Amino acid sequence: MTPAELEAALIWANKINLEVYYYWCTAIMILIHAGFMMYEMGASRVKHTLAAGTKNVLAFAYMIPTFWLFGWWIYLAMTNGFVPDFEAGASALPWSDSMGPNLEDNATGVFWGAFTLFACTTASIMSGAVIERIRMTAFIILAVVLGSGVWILSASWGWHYAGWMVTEWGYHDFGASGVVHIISGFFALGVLINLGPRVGKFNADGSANVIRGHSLPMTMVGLMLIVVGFFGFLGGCLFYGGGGPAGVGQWTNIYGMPTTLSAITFNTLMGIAGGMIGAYTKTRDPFWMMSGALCGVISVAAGMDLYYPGLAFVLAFAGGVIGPMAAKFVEKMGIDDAVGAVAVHGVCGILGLLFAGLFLGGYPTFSDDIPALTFMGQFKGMIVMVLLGFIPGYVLAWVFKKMGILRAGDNVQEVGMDVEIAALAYPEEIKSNSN
Amino acid sequence: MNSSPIESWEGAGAIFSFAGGAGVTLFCVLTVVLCVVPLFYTMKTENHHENMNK
Repeated sequence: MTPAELEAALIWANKINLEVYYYWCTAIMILIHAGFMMYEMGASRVKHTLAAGTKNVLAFAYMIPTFWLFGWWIYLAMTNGFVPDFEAGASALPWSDSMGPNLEDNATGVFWGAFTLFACTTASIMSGAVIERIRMTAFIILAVVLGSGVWILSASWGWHYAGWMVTEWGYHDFGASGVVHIISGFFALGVLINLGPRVGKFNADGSANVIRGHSLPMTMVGLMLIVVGFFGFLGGCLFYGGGGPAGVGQWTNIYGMPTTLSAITFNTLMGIAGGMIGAYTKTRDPFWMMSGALCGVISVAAGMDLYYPGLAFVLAFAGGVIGPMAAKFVEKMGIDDAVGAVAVHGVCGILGLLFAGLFLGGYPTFSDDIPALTFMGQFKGMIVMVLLGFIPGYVLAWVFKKMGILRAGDNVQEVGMDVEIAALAYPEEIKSNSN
Repeated sequence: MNSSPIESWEGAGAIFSFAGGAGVTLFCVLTVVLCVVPLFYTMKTENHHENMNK
């Protein structure tokens, strides 16, 4: 083999390896969606089971074409803020040569696919919070706005090496504590305030009743699937060595800073374990033990490319303790979040950004023009994420509420949301709705 | 229907059906329509059950 042939072979190997890597990350990320579906079906009462699952699957189905139509364009074009860079976004328009089978472009499809699955995750996060009373149409539109609009705008700002929050504040959010979890947690909060609680959740004196889902084992298996899916999700947060802005060689994070898959493995596993143990210690509740895994990973996600594993464990443990406490607080505020999404994703996402600001000072960035990671940069980034998530969720849900299309009537809730589904969740021995 | 944008694999880039042609616009528009129209059907079902269970 001549040197030129060897060089050509290496270029092809890099190209194909990159494609293979993100292809399988995307496949593994679908497990997150499967997990959320089981999670929220199990957390629903029998009469709402299929409505919960159907709405989750439809969010997945709607996210794919809408992310193809405009989501990917937002990511490439909106790095400066609200004014689009049409030149940067041109290759992401749905009629562009890159947005379909193209022998000269091995990368766009797999990157688009991975980002689409991140979008599906954001919609799934909201989906669990609103079970048993949101109307399907309103939910689908909210999910599309969240996944193919708001989340990807936040990613363009803070999860792109040219995003303005990165270039101006040194914002560091490796595993998407802010851009995925705060955004979806606070979007869900905005929706929940307008949606109102499930019938029977709160008493006249404001005290809350426990509404138990029909299958805690299903919920636990679902959460375990989400944990598996996190390996695709967090793996997808890396740039394959041949394709990152740092050039051929070592893996980089999305900001071009070198890292390794080993680094992510250490801290994903330590985050999961710390969160589970922390939440179990706090609650003794298997539901929260499993949700604690999410609390733990999300609490260390922003800095998991850099943490010492022992530090990641301690921070994740704290996330696992704080998550259920935050859920209680949300309930005390009169907000019915059926699965604790605001606490697990919103509050632990805040922890993730702030922990990175507190414990990861002094790391150099990939360019002298980019400021270093600081607590203030992370804090300001957190404020942006909270507002960017909350405001669109609140405003759109408020509009739907005024139009009378947000919430199912109390009688439909009493009968069961599955009355709108052309199937029964369980055999005739188990009542699927009250009709 | 001939939808191929290429006549040879040699040096081919975009190979998807109708690449560079009007068919791309047509199917983009149809994708939008087929996302939006089912929402109206879904809303109709919701309204039906809302009325049935008043």
